[in-house]
Amino acid sequence: MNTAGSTVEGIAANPLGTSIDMLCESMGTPRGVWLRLCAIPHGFNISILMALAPELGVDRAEEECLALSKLSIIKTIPKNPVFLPEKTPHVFDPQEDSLVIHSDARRYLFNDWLRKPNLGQFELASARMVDYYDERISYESRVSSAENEDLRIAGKRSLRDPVSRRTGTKEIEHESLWDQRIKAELMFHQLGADQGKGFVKFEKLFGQRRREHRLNDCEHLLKLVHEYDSLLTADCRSRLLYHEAKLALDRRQLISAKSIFHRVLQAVPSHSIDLQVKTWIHLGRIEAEKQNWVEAIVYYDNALSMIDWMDNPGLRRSFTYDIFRDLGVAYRDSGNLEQAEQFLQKSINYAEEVRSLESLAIGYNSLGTLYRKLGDSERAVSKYEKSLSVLNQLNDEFRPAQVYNNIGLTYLDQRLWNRSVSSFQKSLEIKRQAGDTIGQAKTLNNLMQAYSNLGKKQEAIETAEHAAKLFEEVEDYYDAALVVRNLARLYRRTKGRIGRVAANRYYEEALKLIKRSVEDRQFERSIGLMLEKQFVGRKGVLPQESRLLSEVQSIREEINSLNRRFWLPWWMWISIIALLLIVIWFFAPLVPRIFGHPSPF
Amino acid sequence: MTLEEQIRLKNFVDRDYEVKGFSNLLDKGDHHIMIVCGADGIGKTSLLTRLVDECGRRSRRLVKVRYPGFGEFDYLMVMRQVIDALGENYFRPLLDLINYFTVPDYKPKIILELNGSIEVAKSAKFVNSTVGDIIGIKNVQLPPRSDMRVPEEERVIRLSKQFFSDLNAAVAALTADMGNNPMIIFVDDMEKMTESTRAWLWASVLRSVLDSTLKNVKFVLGIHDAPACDQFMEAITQVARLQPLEEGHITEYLNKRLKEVDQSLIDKVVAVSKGLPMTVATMVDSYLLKYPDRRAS
Repeated sequence: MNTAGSTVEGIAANPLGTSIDMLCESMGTPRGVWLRLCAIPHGFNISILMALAPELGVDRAEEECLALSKLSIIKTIPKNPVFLPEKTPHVFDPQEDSLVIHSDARRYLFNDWLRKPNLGQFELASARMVDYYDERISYESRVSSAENEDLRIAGKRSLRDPVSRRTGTKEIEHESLWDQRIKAELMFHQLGADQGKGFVKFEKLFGQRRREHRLNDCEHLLKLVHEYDSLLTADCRSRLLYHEAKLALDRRQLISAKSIFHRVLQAVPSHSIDLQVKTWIHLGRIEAEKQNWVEAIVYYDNALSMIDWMDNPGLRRSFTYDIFRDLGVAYRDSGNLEQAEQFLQKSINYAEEVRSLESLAIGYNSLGTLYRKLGDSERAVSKYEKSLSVLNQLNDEFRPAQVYNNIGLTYLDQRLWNRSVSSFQKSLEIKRQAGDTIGQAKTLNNLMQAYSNLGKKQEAIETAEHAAKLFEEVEDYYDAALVVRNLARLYRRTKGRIGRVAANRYYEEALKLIKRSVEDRQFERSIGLMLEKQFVGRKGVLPQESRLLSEVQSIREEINSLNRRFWLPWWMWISIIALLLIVIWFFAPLVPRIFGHPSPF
Repeated sequence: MTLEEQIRLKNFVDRDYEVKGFSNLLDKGDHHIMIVCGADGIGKTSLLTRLVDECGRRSRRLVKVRYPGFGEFDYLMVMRQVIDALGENYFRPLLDLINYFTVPDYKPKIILELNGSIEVAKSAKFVNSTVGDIIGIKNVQLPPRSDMRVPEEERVIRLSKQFFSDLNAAVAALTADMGNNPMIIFVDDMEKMTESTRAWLWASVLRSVLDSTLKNVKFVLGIHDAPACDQFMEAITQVARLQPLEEGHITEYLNKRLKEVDQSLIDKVVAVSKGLPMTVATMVDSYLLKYPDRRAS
């Protein structure tokens, strides 16, 4: 094997690298090679060392692990660190514990493997690791199914049932943790053995974890793939960037996502048309979220202009109706309703043609909102109901909540208060089941308006209080403040002192919440999180500090107007009466008949 | 403590200034957070091991959070290690919440111990809920439940709130019988956390200290680069930026591990290692492989 020590400029200047090369040299062959091999996986034990160096038997591998565990760059990972005795030292147990190479030392050795002269051996070692993890997965699934069978016979709950998994022993718990790590490690080594196959595996795993909303896991997977940065092909690099941008989007870091998507466009090979189209679409959606409709439409048009170059007709169709729908929504929300209707209708027609139920449901919902904007409430409700029926065919449990909420809003427009209450309640129930706190809070805020219009003041107040509480629970103090302000307005409409006092109280509460929101932003900025610049709320662009301060100003004005009295102070009244008397005294001679004065004429 | 940690302690040299700073953190109330930062291989973990030992000598209660070696190091892993160290009993509400987020059809449960007339959960709304035992779960890294759609952002907020509230209760109970001395939480390998977890930890720790939601706890954080601080945070934070070892300390280290140390060896180690402890240790390892009889007894 070629070592990096003195051959690569820069690496030689790395003191740790030099010392590791010296160490490997002192260890001699084959021990030094085994140490280098152990840097390919993220951790190792006897069985991994045997997989990497098949010439080793169990006893020899155990002996080598013990020897390696004594090196300063190797860390022992005890199987159950919690149960380590306090005083007596825990000695590496080759049967139970794992070993890891210190991260910098491993990085040095791993990067050395990625150098051209070492690639052949590296691919072979990675392929061995793939076989090892493949075997391990099949072994563990066999064990798991055998255990399930035993449990079934014993009439107990299946191990696959998450509840019993959690109530099980420590071993079971560790296995499930292992399952996840094994999959990530398998993907990592697949990348080393065969980049094409490995990258497909990465994308599958990444997609699965995104769908499960496990964004931290996604970040970890990206980190793993980045270890191969120097080897990745242009295509894989641009696809990796694309996934990074999507993760930023999931975290609603729109500025960061936008910048990464632009990097994708620069990095993507010209033949990857589908990646370019997807990137333009996402860029359009980011602008749409920020309500920059003109820019959004430009990006969607760019995507549309590239569609014809795509080879796969199925993909071409699915992108086409997506772009038409996005264009329709952008035109609708920018006020160009006629064009919006054309695009949305086209999108629905395409989706119907290829029986894409999901796109059809979204399309009908968007069209419903368009008709609502046009004031055609009946057509709006009919489109929303069509969307509901398609979602029903899809067995979608969650999205009907949004459609019911939209129906509720349409009934509000029509002043059909009872119907709107019923729709909002349906939406609320689904959101409650789904654990969507912010969604519930938004629907409760709408429901409050319906109750208020129905004259059910108590229900309206309770609903708004509940909405504010939910917003506060998820630390969305700005939206909580807006709901509390609505509550204040509700009380304000109640004449009398009690209403005024309550309204004042809620206005003050709203001010406190906005202040808290500002403080949060300042705190995040001061510790370098910069969330204020990056984060865009679900309602569009999240208010910046300046906008928050203008909200404070407007609430203060409402408080002032609420408390403004038209009663003048006593001294003003006396002054006015005195002035009046003077005026009367002055003009009295002009009207003698009234006051009984003799006429001057 | 592992053998590796014991060896680290035995061969520990230098860092008197940092250890003194830590003693001040333990004894005085001015600082609540100590940040141990420095380049890779500079000896952050060794110093943290030494500080853990210092806590042990002073009979202070402590929690160690560190990178598990491989796999994800995210906020759930941090919580898991703290739960494991302090005991599940203190974290039942948090475990209940984790169950709620991960187990399909799981209904959150509460245990009510009523003593006289009290107003329970004034503004809470319970839907389809029952009162009963909480399922004790240990694996906090399972995927979110498929029958719910709670955004990760919301999960993090709610789990963090519960975690710090439970931690506060645990600290109050556990420090009461140890003279109310603050508990020390050591978090090592922060640079190995995902970026979002690092930001979460830094923000949560600072917030909990600044607004006093977490009482009687001090933190020691081992990280590559010290995070940004404003003047308020600087007032409660003590930063120890580790520097490379000087020749005297390298000699002291060599004398601890080797029998006979001559000046030419010292010169070579100083020149190659540039004072980086990990490099010094690796050079000594390779030297001992060549000359095993030179190992100090």
